[in-house]
Amino acid sequence: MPNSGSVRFTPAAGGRGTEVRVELEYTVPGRMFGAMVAKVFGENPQQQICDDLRRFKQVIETGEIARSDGSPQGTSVKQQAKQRPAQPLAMPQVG
Amino acid sequence: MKANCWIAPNNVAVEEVPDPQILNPRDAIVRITSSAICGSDLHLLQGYIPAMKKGDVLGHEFMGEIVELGKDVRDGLHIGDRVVIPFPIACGDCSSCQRGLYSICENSNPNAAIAELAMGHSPAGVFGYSHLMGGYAGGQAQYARVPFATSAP
Repeated sequence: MPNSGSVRFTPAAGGRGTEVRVELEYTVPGRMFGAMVAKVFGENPQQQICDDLRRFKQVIETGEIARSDGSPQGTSVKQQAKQRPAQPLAMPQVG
Repeated sequence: MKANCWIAPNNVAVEEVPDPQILNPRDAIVRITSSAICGSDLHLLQGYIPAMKKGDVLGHEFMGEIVELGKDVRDGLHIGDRVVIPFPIACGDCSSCQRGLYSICENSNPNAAIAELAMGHSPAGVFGYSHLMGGYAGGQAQYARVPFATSAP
């Protein structure tokens, strides 16, 4: 998929940390239909960037990715759509 | 272990579920000695809170004894310590936590995006309180995994 973009770090107003701004231009194969299919399967680039930014913030601030029993792999649109029950995993898959 | 699981509105059952394990370096595993049934558990029981799933372990007010610690838990906590677990899961490092606003921790809810969609702003992760609050197993059980233990109990 052809793409180009930038990531900008700027100090946030009022001493409230750092603002990270991602700009990405891309052409989705299959135009509107392709975009719709990608969205349904959690492969929409915007969703993926939002997930990545959340995980980035978690790693930078806490040193780890927050994992729950419903979302053992951490933040991702796919996992949010398809939650497992909130009970401990028999075989934790971490990574 | 045995745990009190949500099955359907107005239907909960004590079931056998896997024991929790350490997933992250700052986790702790707690053997639960007491657990409360809160008035707000009724909202879950009656089905007013969305994003519950069959098998979710309930309970967000509990205390117990630490039986296992992640490798990055060094200061303050030891195996055998008796602890009270606050129900909002708070990382202790984000801007909200550093201002003492633990219930809106920005990092502890892995399902923050759906919570934002539903409520406009995501709260912190909460034990046993639906998948909007992260999908964490709760404390009406024999054991619980406590994430970010270094900043919680």
